[in-house]
Amino acid sequence: MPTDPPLGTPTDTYRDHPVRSYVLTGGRAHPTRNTLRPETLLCAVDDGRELPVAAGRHERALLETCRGTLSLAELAAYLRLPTSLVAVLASDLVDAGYLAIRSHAARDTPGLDLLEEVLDGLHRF
Amino acid sequence: MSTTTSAGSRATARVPALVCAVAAVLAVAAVPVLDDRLPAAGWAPSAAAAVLVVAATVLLSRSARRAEAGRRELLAERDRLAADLAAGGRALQEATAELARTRESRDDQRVAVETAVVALARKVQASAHRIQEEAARVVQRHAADPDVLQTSMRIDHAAAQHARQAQNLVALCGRRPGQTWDDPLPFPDVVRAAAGRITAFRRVEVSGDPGLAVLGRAVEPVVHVVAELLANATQCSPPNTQVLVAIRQVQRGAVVEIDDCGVGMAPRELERVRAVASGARPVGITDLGEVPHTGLAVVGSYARALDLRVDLMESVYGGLRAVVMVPGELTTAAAAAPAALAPSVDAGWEEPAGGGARASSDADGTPGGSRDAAAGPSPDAAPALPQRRARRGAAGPAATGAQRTVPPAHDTTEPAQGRTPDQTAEEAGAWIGAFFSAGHDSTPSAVTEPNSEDT
Repeated sequence: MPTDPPLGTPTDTYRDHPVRSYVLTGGRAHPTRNTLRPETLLCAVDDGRELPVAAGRHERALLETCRGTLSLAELAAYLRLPTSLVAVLASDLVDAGYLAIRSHAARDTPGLDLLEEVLDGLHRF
Repeated sequence: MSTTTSAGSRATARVPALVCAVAAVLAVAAVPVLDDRLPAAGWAPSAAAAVLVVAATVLLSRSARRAEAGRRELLAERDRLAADLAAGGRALQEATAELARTRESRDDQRVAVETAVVALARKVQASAHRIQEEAARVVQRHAADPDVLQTSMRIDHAAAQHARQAQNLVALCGRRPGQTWDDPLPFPDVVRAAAGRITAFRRVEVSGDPGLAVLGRAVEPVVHVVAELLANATQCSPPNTQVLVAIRQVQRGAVVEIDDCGVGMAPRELERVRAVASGARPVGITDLGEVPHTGLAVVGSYARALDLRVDLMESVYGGLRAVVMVPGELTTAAAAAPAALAPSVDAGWEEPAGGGARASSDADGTPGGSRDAAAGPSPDAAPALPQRRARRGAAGPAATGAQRTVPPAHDTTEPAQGRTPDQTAEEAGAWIGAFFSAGHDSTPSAVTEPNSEDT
């Protein structure tokens, strides 16, 4: 956990920006879906659908960054935004169908035989 | 008055003198004639002539004395008047000098008051920015907690309005804003930034993106101008209506139009506020009345300083339309990839060497004024965000000229603080995607349908 500098000391780590975060989410801090966790994997839906013209640069940047599969926390780190803020933005994009949540546990579990092979290999190692 | 008096006295002096002269001439002329005819009585005409001459002389001298007295009197009066005039002139000169002194001291006082107000307002503004920074830091510490984010947003919002009011004072004193930005800001973000400084930011609806950005040095003034116009628009219209902002490119720059759905304004009042908002009628901090309408005065002061064209008119929606024309000298093409999206705290990783031009500090060295200059469109500066211009697989990390400056994953998933980032989001995403789709025959099915939720 990073330690905060004492109050009153000028810092270099803070990056100010004229656009405040509450404007990006319309004042919402809670994502529309409560299943988004920092480790939740997200992936842009590549169905050729363009974002609506009204979409902001922030949504575009988020989708661009999320071309591959990234966890929410990684996404936040790349965008240099707080995870909780990216959760709100990502959640909206999931709702609109531009972003998909990748449920890794359910479908992508390797088969039992593969796991046993790996275990055998490890034993031999 | 004196002229007529002297003319009259001169006339009265002349009549007896004339009579005497005529008599004397007659007497002298008569002498030889009478002399020939009446030798015996020759003395009589001579005596008469002499008497006449004496009488004439007496009369002449008396009238001359009288005229002389009148002349002296007139001269004295003239001198008195001249002295009066000189005294009056001296008094006038003194009064003028006194007035100039008073004016000068009043100007000095005004400058002193303004300097003090500006200094105090800057302190207030700096502390507001400090509050915003602390709020961002708290969010960074509790990065996954929406409640913390909510509280932080409320604090941030309150502090932003606080900073705007302080900056109003600075602007009304004719000074430049204390906050500066280095990167150009695209117009839609200018409006969003402005909306963040008013109470009813949710009612602002932005449309249009001409792909133009405001140059860094003009960002703060333009944002402030738009913020004041938005504040006016939201205050002058019902709370359940939207304030519509349209951005368009024009031949000489870019235009921001702000429409509210209020009831508008009476023509005379509209004329007055137009003069104030356009900067035609300067309004300083000393001109504000008991109920200060600072917003439009601030707009006017910026309009004069930056050559912005600001006008107010009746809106087709019934309320007012405010139009701001930002001249082409203050605009540039917007960068395709944003340098930064919102305030953030860099914690948990080190800034790579040469990683972006970090702004040193702002002009007056206010404590919260360290502004980011990271990586705009310039190819020399390393981008703060991975530049997503190259298509996937077209270039590896070595092939792209740009230095990769990617932070590692967040500390909630991975204790990776201090590790040198070496992967782009694209590579990381591709890697995890490949990992999960390995061992599966049908790669496309790896992506679930959009609405599926993990448990």
